Amino acid sequence: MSGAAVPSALVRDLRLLVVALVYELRKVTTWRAGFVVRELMRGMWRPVVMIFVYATILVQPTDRLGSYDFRGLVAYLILAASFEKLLFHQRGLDLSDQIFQGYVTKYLTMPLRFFVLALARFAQHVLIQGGVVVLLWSAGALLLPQWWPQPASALALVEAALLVLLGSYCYFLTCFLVNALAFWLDVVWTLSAMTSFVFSFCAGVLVPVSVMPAALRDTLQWLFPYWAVNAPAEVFLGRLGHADFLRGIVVLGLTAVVLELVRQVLWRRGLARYVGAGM
Amino acid sequence: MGALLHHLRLAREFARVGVIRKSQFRVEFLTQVVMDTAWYLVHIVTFEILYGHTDSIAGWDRPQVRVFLGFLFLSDAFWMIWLGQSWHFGRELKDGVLDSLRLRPGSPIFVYFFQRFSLEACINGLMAAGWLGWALSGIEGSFSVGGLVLLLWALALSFWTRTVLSVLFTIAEFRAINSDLSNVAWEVSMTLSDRPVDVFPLRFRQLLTSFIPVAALSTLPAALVLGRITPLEGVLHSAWIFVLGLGVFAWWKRSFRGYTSALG
Amino acid sequence: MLIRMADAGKTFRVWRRKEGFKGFFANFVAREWTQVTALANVNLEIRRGEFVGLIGANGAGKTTLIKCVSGITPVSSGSATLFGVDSFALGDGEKRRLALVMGQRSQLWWDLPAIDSFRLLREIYSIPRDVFERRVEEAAKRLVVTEKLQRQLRQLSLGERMKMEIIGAFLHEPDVVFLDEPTIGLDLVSRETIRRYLVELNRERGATIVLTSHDMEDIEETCRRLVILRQGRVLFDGDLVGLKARVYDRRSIEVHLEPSSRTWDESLAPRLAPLGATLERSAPLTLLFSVPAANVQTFVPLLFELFQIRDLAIERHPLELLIRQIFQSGQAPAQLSSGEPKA
Ligand SMILES: Nc1ncnc2c1ncn2[C@@H]1O[C@H](COP(=O)(O)OP(=O)(O)OP(=O)(O)O)[C@@H](O)[C@H]1O
Ligand SMILES: [Mg+2]
Repeated sequence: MSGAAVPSALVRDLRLLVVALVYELRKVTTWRAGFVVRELMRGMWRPVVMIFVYATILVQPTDRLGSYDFRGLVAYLILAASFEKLLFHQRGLDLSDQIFQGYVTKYLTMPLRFFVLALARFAQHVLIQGGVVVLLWSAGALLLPQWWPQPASALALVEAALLVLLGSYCYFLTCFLVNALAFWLDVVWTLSAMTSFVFSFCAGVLVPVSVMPAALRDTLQWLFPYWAVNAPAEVFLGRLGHADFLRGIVVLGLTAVVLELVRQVLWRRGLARYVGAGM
Repeated sequence: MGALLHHLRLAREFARVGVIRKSQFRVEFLTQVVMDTAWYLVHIVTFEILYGHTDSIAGWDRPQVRVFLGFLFLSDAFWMIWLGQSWHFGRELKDGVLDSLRLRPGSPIFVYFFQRFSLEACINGLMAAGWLGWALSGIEGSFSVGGLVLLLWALALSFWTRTVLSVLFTIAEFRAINSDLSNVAWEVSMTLSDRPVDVFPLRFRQLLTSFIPVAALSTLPAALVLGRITPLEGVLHSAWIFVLGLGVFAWWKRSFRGYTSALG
Repeated sequence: MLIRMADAGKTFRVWRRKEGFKGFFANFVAREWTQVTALANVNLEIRRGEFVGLIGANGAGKTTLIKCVSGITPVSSGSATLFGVDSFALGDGEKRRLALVMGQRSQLWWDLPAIDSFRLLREIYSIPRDVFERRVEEAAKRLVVTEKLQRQLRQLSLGERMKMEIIGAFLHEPDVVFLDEPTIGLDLVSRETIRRYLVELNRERGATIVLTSHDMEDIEETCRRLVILRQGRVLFDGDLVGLKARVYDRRSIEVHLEPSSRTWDESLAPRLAPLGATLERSAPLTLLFSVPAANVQTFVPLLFELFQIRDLAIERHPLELLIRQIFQSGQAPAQLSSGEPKA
């Protein structure tokens, strides 16, 4: 590709991204009940349920779990719930259905990069969930000020947000990968449901990673889920510092690059064996 | 009786067809089993970590929670073996592709929900059964015929509840088309059933044992087998959930009358 | 009476999307709903053993009519009954006597080989095993798809899939079969095979068949009765043979002009009128006239007098021309209503 062609392709992609984003936003709001259910309700229940579990374990005010007391855990879990909501949701990508039912065929003949359409989903998710989380957050801070966690500093808030955003992108790529398996498999949704569950464990949504046994803890700290939820929550609370943030950015950045490469290979391979459906 | 036999034969045919589906997609076994093992492990490890810090969670000790997890796994496996289709209900309703369900004889609930038998999930079923057996062997008291009856009863309760809940959640889709309500409800209820319901406040616990009987997936069956509730309480719970189930099925059928198919 | 619709109407509620950024929120908060009338005051009776062709332009309401009669969706006004029972309240007994084939939508299981879908249907309709095997074998042979039975449905071509759908629909020997555009996108040979198969089933088993198609040949070669819908109303309901008789005493004449010839203009119309001839279609160098058969002899010389003609073809008036007239004018051929052959 010549040097001049590269920016124009990029510009085309960006333009498509904007158009697709507007379309996606319009689509999510078309089904009103769906909007409320999907966007407000989903993706935060695991940490909420865990609050009850911890309440039965830490009955005495002096009881502790690792370095956390009950109040600390509640603050942590509220953060985990918010961040899990910000993370891309596996239901946001119906790619596997599209592949399986042959809808992808029509895009293959169009002069566009299919991935840009998926990216628009991601952008839509970030925008809408960002709004929803801010709303829920403000409501919570007003209603339960004594329980609600406050950022350690403005910088901590920004750092946490960056980590979550990058982590969400990594998770989005993971979802895309799992969905692309539909080129080979015929049932993918069980896999994506399981992925999300395993992910949330690794991300410390159920139990903070620092409370886990040492070996498990050290392993998880090398994986991106930890840096997508657990670490940002602790950065936010001031339990982790600047150096940890930088380490997180490195881990997440590397993961994104690796996942992107795998995605490209998988997508190309998949298309090569794709026959569409219904001739 | 004739109807029951008819549906059993249908189930056999669905199973046969499920096996045929799979023989064309062998990789699936591997991915499925690997992922589900991971899923089981996460549950087990989460509780093991917690029990590293405490002896009792809402009155359940470690061996008891292992039994609880056994029922959770088995009930989940049952869902995956037989009820996987319910996951697609919202989309199929929205796309208006349920026309044939209207046209064909037989119970539409049975024909729809049980049509997608999954063979690989049977392996999950085996693993789950193995875990439950192992967990039960860790409980005081020797094996008895009465215990076996109790176990079968508990399993039947769990599976029945699974079916009822799956059908119940899809009713929401009739009310709010393409709302994903049934899948979200499924996710939330799964999350709620992940832990013994005793961790929740009283009112909420009552809701989970009555109208949205998530507790009957794993908490109640485990409690029954472990003797945490008396057989009489077990009978009362089971009777209630049986009646509730019949009501839910009737409600679903009524809602299905409102189905408008897509453009042709 | 097998099928009866009395003053049946069907309306759908649709909402209109508002444009622009403001519309985006308006859509979310308050929606504008409008009623779409798909069927209005339809009266229709179909007896056992009839083969009825249902035609109409796109959006005329054919599919909706089929859905209402087969009980997929209820009528909004009036009534629709099948086997004497309200269509929307069919019991298992009635359902066993009914089948539906939709050209655009599969009734079989997408990811299964056709034969396995059939076995599922065997259980659903409780068909005895030996009967089932005989029927599948025979039908597959007639439709020439025996080799394809073991293939996954989604790996079949459109025509092969359609044939499977038809086999599946007839497995339980239904008394009534609705086919909505079963020949859509099929090649000539497949179309003919399917037509022949349907006619045979209608004749041999007395199955009542309601067929929609946009291909007039399908209708001409299979149906005895024709129902034309226009904007949700029955415009014509009568004997196809009578309609044919009406068109068969006319001829259509296609004229290809030399580039140097004069072309058509309205001033020529009065010269045609005495012969009962009409201009059906005009393109710069091609004209299509319709003339009573008896006047062809005098009409053709007139043509040579008026134009410089390169080529000319005289044919029996195709049914399609008439139908097109009906669609466009919205006028039923009055003297033909209710199955009276033309006097
Ligand atoms: N589910 C629905 N919701 C809204 N409008 C509908 C629905 N189904 C049909 N319509 C409308 O009813 C009218 C009749 O549709 P129908 O599908 O019956 O037409 P048709 O005669 O089968 O057309 P075609 O030849 O294109 O298949 C159309 O105007 C259509 O837009
Ligand atoms: Mg139609």
